[in-house]
Amino acid sequence: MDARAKASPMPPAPQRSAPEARDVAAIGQAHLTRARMAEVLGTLGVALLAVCVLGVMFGSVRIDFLRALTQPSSPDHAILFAARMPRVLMGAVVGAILAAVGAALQALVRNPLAEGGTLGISSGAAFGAILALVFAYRVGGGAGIVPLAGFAAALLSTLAVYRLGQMHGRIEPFSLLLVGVIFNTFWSALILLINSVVNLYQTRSILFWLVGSLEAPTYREVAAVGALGAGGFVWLMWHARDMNLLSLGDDPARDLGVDVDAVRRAIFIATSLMIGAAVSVSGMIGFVGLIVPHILRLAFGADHRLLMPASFVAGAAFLVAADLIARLVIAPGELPVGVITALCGGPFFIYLLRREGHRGIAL
Amino acid sequence: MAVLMLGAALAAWACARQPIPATPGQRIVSLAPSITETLFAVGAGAQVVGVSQYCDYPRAAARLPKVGSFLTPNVEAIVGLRPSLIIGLDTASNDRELRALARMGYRLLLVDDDSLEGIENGIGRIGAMTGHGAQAQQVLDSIRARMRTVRARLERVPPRKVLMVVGHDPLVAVGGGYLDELLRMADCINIGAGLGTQWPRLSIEYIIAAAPEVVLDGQMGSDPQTPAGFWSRYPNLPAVRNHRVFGYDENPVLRPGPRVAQTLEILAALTHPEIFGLPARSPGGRR
Amino acid sequence: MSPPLLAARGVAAGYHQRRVLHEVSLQVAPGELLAIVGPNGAGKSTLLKVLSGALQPWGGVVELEGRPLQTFDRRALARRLASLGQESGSAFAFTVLEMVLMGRAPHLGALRLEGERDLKVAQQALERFDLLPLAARSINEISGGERRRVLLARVLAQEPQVALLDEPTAFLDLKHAAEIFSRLAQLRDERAMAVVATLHDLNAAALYADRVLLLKDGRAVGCGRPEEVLTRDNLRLVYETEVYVGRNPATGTVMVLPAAR
Repeated sequence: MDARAKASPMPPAPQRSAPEARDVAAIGQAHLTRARMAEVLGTLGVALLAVCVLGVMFGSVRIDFLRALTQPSSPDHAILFAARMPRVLMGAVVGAILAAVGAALQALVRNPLAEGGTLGISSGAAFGAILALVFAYRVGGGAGIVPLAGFAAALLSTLAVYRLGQMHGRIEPFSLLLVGVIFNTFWSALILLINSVVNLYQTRSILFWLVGSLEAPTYREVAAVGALGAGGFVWLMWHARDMNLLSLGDDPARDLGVDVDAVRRAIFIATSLMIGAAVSVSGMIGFVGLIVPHILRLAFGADHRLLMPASFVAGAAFLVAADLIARLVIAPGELPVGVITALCGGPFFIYLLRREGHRGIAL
Repeated sequence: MAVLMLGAALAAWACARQPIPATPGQRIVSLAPSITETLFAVGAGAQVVGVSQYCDYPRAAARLPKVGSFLTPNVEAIVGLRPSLIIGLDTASNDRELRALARMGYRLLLVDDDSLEGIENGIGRIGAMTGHGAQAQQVLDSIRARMRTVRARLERVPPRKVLMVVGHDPLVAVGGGYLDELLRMADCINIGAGLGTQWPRLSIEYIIAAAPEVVLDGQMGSDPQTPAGFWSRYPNLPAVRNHRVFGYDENPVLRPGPRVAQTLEILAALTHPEIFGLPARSPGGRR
Repeated sequence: MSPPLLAARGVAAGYHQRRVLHEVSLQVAPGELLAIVGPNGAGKSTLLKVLSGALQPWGGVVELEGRPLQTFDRRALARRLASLGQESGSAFAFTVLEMVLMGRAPHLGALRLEGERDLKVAQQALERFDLLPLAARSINEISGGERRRVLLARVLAQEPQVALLDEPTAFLDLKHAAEIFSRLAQLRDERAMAVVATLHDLNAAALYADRVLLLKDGRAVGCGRPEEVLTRDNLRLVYETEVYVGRNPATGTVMVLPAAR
């Protein structure tokens, strides 16, 4: 009991103090209201729109928008509609997926340092996708097998990391992260193993997967990944309140009416599906799922009913912005966007690790 | 996969253990495909006892013991071949291994294959070091003659804007080096040149803006399962509109050796089909 | 006497191969406070887990409103039965108010935000445990005692018919412990809520409980009114130490003191 609480006199009887009691609803940021949800999501939505407009306006070359819109045969038109727009849209879709998945995984393992990248799930998905890519070409399979293999490998990774991160039935935050590190190393080794038996071009493509990039997507890819992402997101949203309860621990969540196993299964499958889809088109773009939910949590609170949609929108804005930077810094050449997110995310992760370590992650 | 790997490892091991064929004179180890080609072209093929894992031309070279790649030469395998001369590329990636070999007292020859001048010098020096100086000179003369022929046919032809990429996934283009020189010889304006790096990673936006009339995509040549699908996303590119997107085989195009003249002929044919006739079905000509 | 709200009949339970409870029976009526007491390892918490449905009994049956516990779905059960466990907080910085509002979860659909009535219930629960000034504070920034009260307020916000409390006064000082018992007693009277609490403190059990269940090695040694169960003979047998059993001069209830030197 801290000193301040001791010093304050105990109000006599609750009934008598009731008339003067402050109305809880008036305590602004203390809980989630519809108005606050609308305000936050509205603001983030406007920010996303603004970033997308910037992303479409600027690029490695300057274009004439009038000509782009009026002359369908002009290069300006092609740059705008065939190159820039699908890329901005793909950035938004992948960013939304990565951030929402990060927030959901953090609730699942009760650890704000969790993310597809840090838990080794993205590299698992990348391994699955690369394996499918190499073998699909060998046996002449369709392109649809690549995201599917990514999903399967992501699910396998998630389950394995989740099981191995537990000690005596409890998730230990640091052993979980260590398992994630080891999984990353393990999958990377397998990827390099594949790398050493394929030809020169596939080698280059594999490298490109490892860094993560949004280069040259098609509208069809955007639509396919967008549909998977939206589906997974709705599924996760359905369990957003359960994520709040799950973060208290399995027993309290169960006592508050959560079917813990069902929620966990939903998070496993939905996040794996989403990561598999995102990784199959963009490779491993790290740290988005770490940075975005964390900042949103600081700004708008921990309630997943707001955190999840806010991450979805803000993650989209974040990756579009990061990709804009990646396209501009060495124009007309370009950096893979994974370089930008890793440059932001690495130091951020260290900061979080020190902070959480200092506080002793409450479980 | 694991079985495959194991098999490959065993095969490599078995190769390394083969009794070394007795050859008169020098025992040469080559660490790059272009060097191996030069050795065979100047008539020193019989002295070669080991090659890099990427050396597959000429066919006789493919059967020689493998000693790793030019990126990671296998020092033990090289020493096991008791070479009297090791010829490698002057790049940073194999610096550590080469220094180790030099410390052990092996004779090293490093050649530069980045530029046409470097390639020609390399052919001359390899010829001289192996006692085939005269043949090397013949090779060089033949290269220059074939190049002159190509140049002559391209006189008074308007230059053509060309994009040459190693692959589209990612889009890494030819920006400098001997390929850029060859493109210029083939009367092309290389849109990847002048960006400050030898292998620039280009954005698709830049490519659309630069509007190349011909696209040469190495990924398509080596991997026939990848159709021209990638480029058909950008139907407004002049090259796509006019069906001038071609693949090329990395062998010989990406081999900066005695076949540079052939490479020039391929590039000229692909970029000026109206002069040289439409390219054959398998551009770059597999052996 | 009203019919039992919650009843356990011949319950046996344990973990892995280790049997912790043998043939324990109890029943609680609406508006009754039952204290489960006994030494460490007697099976108090295990019994509570069986009663909450968190642990499947090996034998015997637990019934709520005359229906076996397993026939309730999770949410329906959570609307009737609330538990206070030994949880320590959250990985994320929820506010005190958000934490208490989580007690409303079983009453709301998946996508519904808390409405006016839910807020009112939470507000009353916060008031009940003097937490209103802390409502906007992060759950991870308050003291252990305050957090305990927040969890009690959450149990209250759940509006259950039965509250199962594992050591409700752990981490609380004398004054707050007393406050909590008096408030639990109020709730019991106002809402006819049944309370089952494990307690270390025999004097608290004697003072506040309507009935006491005394456990030793997973077996019930006695169950009944405090003065019937908390006898010198029973306590000597259960705790294996000398005790003095007298009367609290202020309240007239049973008082237990250690008497071994």
